[in-house]
Amino acid sequence: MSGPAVGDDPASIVRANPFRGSIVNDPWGGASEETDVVRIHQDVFDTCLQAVAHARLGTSSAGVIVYGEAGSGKTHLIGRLRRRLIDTTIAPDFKSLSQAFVYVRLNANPSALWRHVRQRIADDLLRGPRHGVSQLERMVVTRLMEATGGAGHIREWWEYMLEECRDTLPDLMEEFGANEQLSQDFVRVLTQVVLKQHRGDAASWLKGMPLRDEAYARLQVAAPWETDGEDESKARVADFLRLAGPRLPLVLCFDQVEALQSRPDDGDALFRYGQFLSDLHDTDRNLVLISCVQSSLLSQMSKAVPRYSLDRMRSFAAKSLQPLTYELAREVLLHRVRAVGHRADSSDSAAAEAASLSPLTEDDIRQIVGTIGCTPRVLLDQAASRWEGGTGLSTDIEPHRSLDHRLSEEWQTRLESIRAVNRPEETERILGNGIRRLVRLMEPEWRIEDGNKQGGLDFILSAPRGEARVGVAIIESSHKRLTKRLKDLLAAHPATTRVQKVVLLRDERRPIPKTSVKALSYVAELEKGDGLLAPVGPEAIAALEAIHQLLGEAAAGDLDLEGEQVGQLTVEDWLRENLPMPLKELADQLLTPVQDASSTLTGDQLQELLNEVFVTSIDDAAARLGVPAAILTAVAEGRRDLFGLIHGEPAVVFSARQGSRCLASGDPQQPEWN
Amino acid sequence: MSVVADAVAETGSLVRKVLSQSDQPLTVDQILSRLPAHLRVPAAELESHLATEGFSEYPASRGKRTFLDRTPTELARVLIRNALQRGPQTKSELAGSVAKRKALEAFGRKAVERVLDQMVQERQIYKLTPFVAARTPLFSLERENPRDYVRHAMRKVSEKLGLPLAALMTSVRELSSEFEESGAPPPGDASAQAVGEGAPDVQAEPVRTDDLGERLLQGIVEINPRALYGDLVLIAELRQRFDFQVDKPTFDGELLKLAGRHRVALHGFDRAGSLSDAERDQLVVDAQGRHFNAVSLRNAP
Repeated sequence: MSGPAVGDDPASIVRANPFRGSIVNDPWGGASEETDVVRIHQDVFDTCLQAVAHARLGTSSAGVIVYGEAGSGKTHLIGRLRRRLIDTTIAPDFKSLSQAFVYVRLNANPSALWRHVRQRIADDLLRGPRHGVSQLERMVVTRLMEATGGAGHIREWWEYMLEECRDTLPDLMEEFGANEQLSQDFVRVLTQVVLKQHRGDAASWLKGMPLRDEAYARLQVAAPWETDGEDESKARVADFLRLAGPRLPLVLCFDQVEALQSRPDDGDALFRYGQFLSDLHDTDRNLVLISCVQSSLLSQMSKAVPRYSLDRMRSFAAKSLQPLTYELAREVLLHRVRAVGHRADSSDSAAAEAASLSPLTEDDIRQIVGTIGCTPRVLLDQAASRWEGGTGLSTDIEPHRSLDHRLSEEWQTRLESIRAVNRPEETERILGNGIRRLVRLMEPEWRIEDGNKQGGLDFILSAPRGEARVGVAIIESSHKRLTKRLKDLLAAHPATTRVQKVVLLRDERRPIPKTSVKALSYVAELEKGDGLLAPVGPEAIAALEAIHQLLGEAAAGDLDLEGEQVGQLTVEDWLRENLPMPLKELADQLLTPVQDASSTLTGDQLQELLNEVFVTSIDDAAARLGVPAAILTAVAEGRRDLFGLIHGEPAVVFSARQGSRCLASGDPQQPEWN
Repeated sequence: MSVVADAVAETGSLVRKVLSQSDQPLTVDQILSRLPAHLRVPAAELESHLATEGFSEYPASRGKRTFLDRTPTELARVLIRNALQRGPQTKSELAGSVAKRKALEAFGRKAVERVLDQMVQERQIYKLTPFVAARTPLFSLERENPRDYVRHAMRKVSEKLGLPLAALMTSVRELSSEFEESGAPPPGDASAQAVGEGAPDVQAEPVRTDDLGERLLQGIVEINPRALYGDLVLIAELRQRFDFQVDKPTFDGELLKLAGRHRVALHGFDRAGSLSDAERDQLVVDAQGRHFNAVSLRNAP
């Protein structure tokens, strides 16, 4: 007998295909040791382990860049590293932690990297308890035992502590925290984690998710006042690093760097990543920072990332994943076949191996690999097609489905899985990431700027010619913090925010409580002007997350639909055509220009303003008068007898009327400062 | 003797053990918290026991008296040893970190430095020769270990050459096997040799100028010495280097030949559609129309 024993049913042949399912999206799951050919990328794997050994010395952190084409096995390699460093295939005994492992897929907003990384660190360190004790608990207990000079087996010591000294553990933790310079709130939350109290609240706090006031009280920590969580998150990341201590390397694997880009030519995202990584590299000396980057990004990286950042990213090594040779490719295929039990017999002879690969032939493999090699993904995709073709049924299994159909199916699947797990605590993150994607999708020409802190905005959306500037505030906090934020926003708008419209976004599942009288009154006050409270429903939230995921994976070259790699631009086109109604409505609220005020803007109004300020930028004047900059410019240009304009960055308007304080000689073209 | 006093006496040895395991003075409550519940005695009794049994008293913490089974000098010794477990340190690092501990604030930095000198005299710790190109002596729990000196020198070489540590480690391994094979002892200036080993092979063995393949390999290393250890080089940069010497079809053909012979790996570029004609011209294209933007040396260590 040769080849697989499958039924005649074409669908069962597809299911039984040992080469299908080549993409590993999550190193915590995905490929097992059975299908892992350790000879592939072994040099890169060894370098990563050497970097861990280097970080264990505590002399300096180690940066490693791993370059590779889409489908070259970057995530697969991280999975192998994870299995070597943190074994979760069986529930581990409670033992000391030698190193900690965190996987960070960079499907994030580049201006909120610290928040994203804090969340990912907390997520991965808290993984469990299905796989036994979490890394975080092991880390805390290991360090606590070290600090108190505890002896014996760590599990027995910890059981003793829990049984006999439970009441005094908070004091012990406090002492430990003071010695390690951990923040008090962080120590209090860790204490709850190891005592297994209020674990949901503790996990949310560690991840930086907004909590209700009662939850902060339960954890005995202060509620943050700051609306921009980047600094706070950076401080918490530093806490995690100090907690690990000088001898316990923390391995952070950053995957899909390209997913940070909102467009294929987005160099700013790479610049921000470089800045972030060099900051992190210098924060402590026990870090292994592995950046997985698509090799097609090399040119952009070298232009966008400053040398000092790049040097830290690769302070230990820069390696590239190489294409498969024929021998390695054959080994990959045999592993796959063996892993699903398709082997014909137990003999290891070449003939038996060839039989087990049947209907795939040696020629097939040589053709796929070609003279210069191929990536594992190309190998498996093409082997899968040929394998199905070899059954004689490939073209009859299913009519070729259009890309539109496949994307539609993928979209539905994602939406359903997101809906199933989505919680309001995640809304702030999802809106932060998703709104940017949505704006890029609907209005690619619009600029998205970080909101200014004084104004309390999360970001500002600007039309290309200044005809609209919309401020967006995600107001997911509750009670006192919400009230403070709205009060600040009301005070800052429009003089400081300098936007014509403010959109307040909040998860509709958590309306502002009626008891928050002041907060509601501030919202009403804002709405009297150009403010708009836009509750966002769960459907829109799930769709925003799905957009973010799909575009991130497409940018990273990891969106593979039935063997076809689908690019970012294709997904964007499909999304524009198929955007669900709740997102269209949300986009309208965000991107509809403010009421057209051109008919009401007169030269007199502009003159009145310039009587007060004499000279100002076009943007400022437009914001103060509540009109688009383009219209203000047109009015000013139409009355050169009254107004002077200086084009440039920024464009400036001034009063050119006879006797104006701006003019020394009465010449409208010569302002006084010239 | 009261029942409480008996309990105190019974737990006396355990209290001593708790204090001996601590590297900082403890309040009565903290000591009690580390005792099994059935052996805890009233705080006042334990405090009186500690005061009368010759334990050293340290500055109060949050208004509560603190005790330890060691004098400040002995505590300084423990803290110095603990600090050195993290690796060799200078006198100012050591004295600074130990003297700033709250328990030793009154003891003072000078006193800590005296303890340090005394420990050196007693050979409890060692004063090491400064590292290469350094002036400050270091203190360590162990005698001089050449490994620490090599590690330090490697970091310096790494900074100077702009090469990653992994690259130097490869050189060290190569040197090591070279010595083993030859049976010869390492030459005097080992670090200089290691750097020499890390230098491009192409410099050691000049290539024939008419051999384009070898010149391309040499060009890759000259553009980025890290390529020897697996880093990438942009094909556009390589192409630019040969712009006036080789036409594009020859250049592309030679790189594809090198890839076919597994001397280099070509890295695919899936965004060629978004490039201008001039930009696309900087990529290598194979017979299947696949574009490649980067190249690396195969089998780099």
